[in-house]
Amino acid sequence: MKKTYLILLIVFGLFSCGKQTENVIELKNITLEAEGPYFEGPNTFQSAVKDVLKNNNINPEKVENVLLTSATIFLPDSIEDGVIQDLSLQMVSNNSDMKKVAFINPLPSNQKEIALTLATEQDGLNKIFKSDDFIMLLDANLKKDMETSLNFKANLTFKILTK
Amino acid sequence: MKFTSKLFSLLALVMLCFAFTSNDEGDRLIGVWQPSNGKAKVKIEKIGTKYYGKIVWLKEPNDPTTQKPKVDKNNPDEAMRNVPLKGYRMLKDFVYAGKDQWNEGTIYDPENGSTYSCEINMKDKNTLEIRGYIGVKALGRTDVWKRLEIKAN
Repeated sequence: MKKTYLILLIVFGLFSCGKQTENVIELKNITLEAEGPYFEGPNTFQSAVKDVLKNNNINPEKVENVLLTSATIFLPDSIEDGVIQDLSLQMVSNNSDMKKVAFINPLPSNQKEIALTLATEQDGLNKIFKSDDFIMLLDANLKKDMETSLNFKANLTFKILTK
Repeated sequence: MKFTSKLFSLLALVMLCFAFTSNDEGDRLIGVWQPSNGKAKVKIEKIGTKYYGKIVWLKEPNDPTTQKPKVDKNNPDEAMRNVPLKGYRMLKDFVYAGKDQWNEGTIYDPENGSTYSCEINMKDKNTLEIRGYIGVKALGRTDVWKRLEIKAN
């Protein structure tokens, strides 16, 4: 009888060790900016993001996988329709490689709120998240030169699996 | 005791100066460059502590079949095949290693959708040797890129 309990306890222990927890993190209202003037073609807007895991009480050592599940970009009010041809979103930290995570080409007309298409392959995001801070980059391909100051806002949702 | 403390301060100052010099030296890579085939212009910039190069001009911007701007149709990730080539970061994650060399980066060849390890050597201030390779540096190909002068208005 004791032996059976012991086996059950070991099996339960093994299952609980292998169990993953899903955490959903929303990064809202991120401002992506670059100093103007801006030139026709791709212009890079940046935002430094800090302490995401720490602020959500997630131990970096326990992170097993990070997945971007939605990315919405809000275009500046000052920009006319059709001036931006396409957008692509990247992430990078000082100790990880840059990852392209989402894009849209072409932009839908007459919309200020743009949902990006997500990359299927997102390996390496966990390494970026494990850094204390990382950089979000938005490449906006402009049809013409612009002198007015621009910044974009982004809402991003990530699914983080921890052990 | 006083002497030791002064010595440490001096050493720290020297190291700090060296770090800044080394960083500035790496920034010589920043600029607009053209590969030997003349098909593109690549703007190299610094993001964080590393260097990246994106395509800012294409000799043939449109796909002859679709007559639309060229996209990354050979990307192994099917979801990313509609990303435009203009603006594409084909050089990524280069770190300045000193002695006119940047390494630890990759180069993407949009013509076949492959990414290679890459090392950049600056032969003179207007000439780069870009070596792409798989695994071993000996198994690779070197291309010479020239710096483009940006005309001031």
